[in-house]
Parts: sequence; structure tokens; C-alpha cells
Amino acid sequence: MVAAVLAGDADAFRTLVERESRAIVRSCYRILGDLHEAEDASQEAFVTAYRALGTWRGDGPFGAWLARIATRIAVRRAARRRPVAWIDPRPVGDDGGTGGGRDVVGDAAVASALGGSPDPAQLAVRSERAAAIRTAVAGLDEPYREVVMLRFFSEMSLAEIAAQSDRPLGTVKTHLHRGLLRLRRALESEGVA
Amino acid sequence: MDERRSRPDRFRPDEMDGELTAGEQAEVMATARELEWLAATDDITPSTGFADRVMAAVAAEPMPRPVRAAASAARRGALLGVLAAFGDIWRVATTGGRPLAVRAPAMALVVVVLAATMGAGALGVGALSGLVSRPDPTPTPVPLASPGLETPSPVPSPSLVPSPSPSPSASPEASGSPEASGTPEASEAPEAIETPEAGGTPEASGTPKATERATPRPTMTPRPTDTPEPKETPKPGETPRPTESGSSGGGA
Repeated sequence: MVAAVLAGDADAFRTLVERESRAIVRSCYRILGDLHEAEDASQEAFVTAYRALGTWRGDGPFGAWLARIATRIAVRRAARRRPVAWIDPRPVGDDGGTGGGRDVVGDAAVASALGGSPDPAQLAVRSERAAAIRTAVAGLDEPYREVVMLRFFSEMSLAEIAAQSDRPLGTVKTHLHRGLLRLRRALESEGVA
Repeated sequence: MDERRSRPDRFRPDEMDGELTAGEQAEVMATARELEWLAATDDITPSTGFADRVMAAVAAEPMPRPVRAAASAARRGALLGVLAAFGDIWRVATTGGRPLAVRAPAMALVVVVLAATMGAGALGVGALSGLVSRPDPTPTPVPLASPGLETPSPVPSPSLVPSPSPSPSASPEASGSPEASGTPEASEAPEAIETPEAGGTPEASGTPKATERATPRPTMTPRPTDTPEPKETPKPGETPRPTESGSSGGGA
């Protein structure tokens, strides 16, 4: 498919977009917490990947390469805004709140995860907890942040992460457990864990 | 080449490396469960028309070629972008698995850049070695010559310098043997050396002056006028004339 795009068949790229868009948007949403921003970041990731398609080594899944690009773009976008934008500050029952980063799709997903119960109090607690986890992950240093995001947000295996980042598998494992320990400390300091 | 990814299972302890205590391992597992919970709650799908928007953005892009990326980075003046693009070009040119339409321009550009780099390096090394290996490091004085002179070292004209070695030919024929020829300047051959005495004026002293001339002049030969000239012999028919001294004239 990539070879067809490089040979001049631009429509072949549409097949790649349709196949990978769900995973990429979801990965960006887990970092940014906003669907529109996640779609913007995903679109930028697709365009960036298209420009650099000739440099893709082809030694792994195209989706893994694309997910790494999308993760970097989403992290950069998240760093440009205030972390409080991720938190929904609306108190329970306040319809005229200040907005925030959460959108309807995300709240519906949280409600779905709660078993379909639309309890606003539980919804708010869960939203705040999700935002705290995102903030803690975004606050990790590199390379721990990238490994944790690719493993849990982009749902890549450790072997794929090692191949995409040109690191040995053992190094990736070390970065992962150290990153998770640091994340635990950060969550404890925020009172989430 | 572009196979689909498989979603990994739940996080397991064997995904960690290194020695962890039981407490640390429990903390890591609890954190992993938090992240998995977050991933499960955010299971969303992109909005409709997302692929069309992406394809509209892609349609405005040129064909994906590494050389084009380098050219656009150069037009923007982004040095890091150019270096990164050249790294990509190098990788594309030196590794396989890509279409020829992508590899050929990359290989051509690599060759051109390498040739230019080696040429510039050779010029630099040549210039540097020329500066280092100069034979005479001391500066040579630059003559304040007139504009007409091109060579700084004046060559003395040999015709203007007197010969320093006096000729040992205190010639025997000049040492005083009188010549009857009466041509005292006959031995004075005209000299190429310009001396004040070159006019042929004979010197009064008979000794040559070695300090004044390189070639000693011949001594003056006695003039023929010093010798008494023979008197005219009386002819047989003539009566000898009496001398003025008046010797015994009527005595007989």
C-alpha cells in the first residue's frame, strides 16, 4: 500500500487513513482529552506521515510508525496549552460551566465504562481522575513518557516500541517500569493513587 | 510491509525488566491498571468525514519524496531541517525496500553532495598545506622599487665595477726597456674598463699605481729626443765650416 502511494497513487493513502484513523484518533484523545483537538492532531500526523512516507523503513507495521508520529504531535500540542484545560471544572448540576477540555463523546465513554449509569457525581469523579492521569503522564521525562504512552495509549507492544525507537527490548522494558514507578509517585502526590 | 498491528494484552509483570521488590512490582501493576482503565473509558471513534478532511489536506501536499523535503527545508532556510532531510535521503539511498522512483533522486543527490563536499575539502586541505609548507618563513624585504622595476633584486652591471684584482702583468716590456720606435703609447691597449686615465694621457712617474688602476700602466720609455741626433755628414765638395768656438784658425 505504501509502495503504491510512493509510486504516485495518492488514493491508496485513503485506504491507510481509513484503516488507521480510529486507533490514531483514540491515541491522541487519550493524551489530549478533547475529541476535536485529537482529530486535529491526528490529521497533522497523517499529513506528516505522508510527507515522510519515502523515509519509512518498512521494518514494522505502518500503524506503529504512524502512532509514534501522532503521539509526538499530541504531546507537543498538550504542552502548548495549560494543563487545567484537561479538567472539567463544571460542578455537578451546573450546565453553564466554563467548558473545559472534555467533550460529549468523552463523557459518554466514561458513562459507558461505568456500566451505563449516568450518575453525574461519579461521572465528574471519573473525569477528574482521568485528567489527573493524563497530566501525570504528560509530566514524565523522556524517554519514560514516550514508552508509557506508546504502550498504554497507542496500544503498541514492547517489541514494536523497540523497533520504532531503535532501542533494545530490554532498554524499553527498563524505561517502562521506571516510568510506571515515577508515574505512581506523581499520582500519589496528586492524591489520585 | 504495512501489516496491521495487534493490540497487546493486559500488562503483565514479565513486561518489566530489572529486579523489583514486591512492593515496587505491586505499585507498577497498580499504575498499569490505572492506565488501562483510562484507555478503556476513552474508546472513541473519529467523527464522520475525518478521512475526507485528511485526504483534502494531503491533496495539497507534493508527492512524498525526500529530495522535495530537503528542497522545501532549504527554501525555508531551516538548517536543521536540511540536515534532517539529508539524513533521510542518505537512509533512503543506502537502504533497500523502496521504489526506484524514490531511491534514484536520493542517490543522485547523495552523489552530488558528496562530490561537492570532497571537492571543497580538497581545496581547503590544499590551501592549508600551501600555507604550512612555505620554504622560507622569514619575510623577504619588499623593495621600494620604482614602478617600472619588476624584479626586486638589482643585478649590478659588470661594466661599471672596476676589476678588483690587479693584473700581475707589471709587464717586462713596460719596465723600462727603451724602445726606439718612439711610440710610447703603443703598449697602452685600449681597455674596456672605464678609468679616468683612459684618455691615454701618459703618467709622469715610471711606476705603476696599483691602487688606482687594476692594470699597471707601463712606465714611460725614454723619448728618442734624448739621444743626440746624428749630424749631417759633410759632402765631399764642401768646405768644412769653422766652428763657432774659434779654435786655432790661422795658425799654420
